[in-house]
Amino acid sequence: MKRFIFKNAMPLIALGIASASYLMMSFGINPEKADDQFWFEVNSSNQPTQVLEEGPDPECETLEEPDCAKLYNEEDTEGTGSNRTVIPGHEANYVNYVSKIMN
Amino acid sequence: MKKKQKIVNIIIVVLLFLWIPITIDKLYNFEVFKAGIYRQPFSNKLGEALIYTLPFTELVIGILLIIRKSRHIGFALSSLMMALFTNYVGMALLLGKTGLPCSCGSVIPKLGWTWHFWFNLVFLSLSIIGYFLQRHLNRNGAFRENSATGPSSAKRRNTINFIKHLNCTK
Repeated sequence: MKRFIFKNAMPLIALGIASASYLMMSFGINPEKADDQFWFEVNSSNQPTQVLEEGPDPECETLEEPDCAKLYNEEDTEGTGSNRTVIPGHEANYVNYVSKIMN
Repeated sequence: MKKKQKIVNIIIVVLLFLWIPITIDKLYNFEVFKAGIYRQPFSNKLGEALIYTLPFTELVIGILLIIRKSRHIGFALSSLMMALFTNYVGMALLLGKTGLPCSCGSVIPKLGWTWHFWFNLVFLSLSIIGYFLQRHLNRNGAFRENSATGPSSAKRRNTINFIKHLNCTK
């Protein structure tokens, strides 16, 4: 047993770290939740329209067109699922970091 | 030699403490990681590629570091990844883009971008030191099993004894 542990020390350590990390994530650390923010499609008038449940389209090149999709916090939206919309009057509260940087 | 091996082992454990939790975090909180990548100031196509290649590469680094014969590759890959991450953070700091989100795990974002830079630099240094030490150990045959113990030494002893016996009977 001792010899097995000594010979396989690194894999056992790695397994221990992986298990501990998984447990910590399951019971401990609360990361920022992606569910609290939502991407919206933007129309030609630069207004948010439909929620993009899968995230922005890869064709939406936010580097070239920073506002081709806009990200909003949950408190600036209403509704659920595909019926989610931006609360009227909150359209300017988008959290699009690329836009902020480009401006 | 033993001292160098001990140092290498310590560096490996430290790097495992970096790469394994980061990989698990990315996979466990995949949507958060994905959202963070899309918010970075580079092409979404590149982001799409990074979403899948980053966790995979980090996992491979962990595995390479565990396997004795591939440790030098693990160290090299770790150094390369840390160099890329450090460069990215460094550029973000230089250009004043610290408003960017960091899609790098649950613990690291709490450090802030400056601390994150120094954190990356430390791990980059460890990876490079580990690479050179491991290369030195490999050249001196340190990864081979100790000749005094282990099944291969018993096999060797048996072979030598057999040859001696053959020589005696001739």
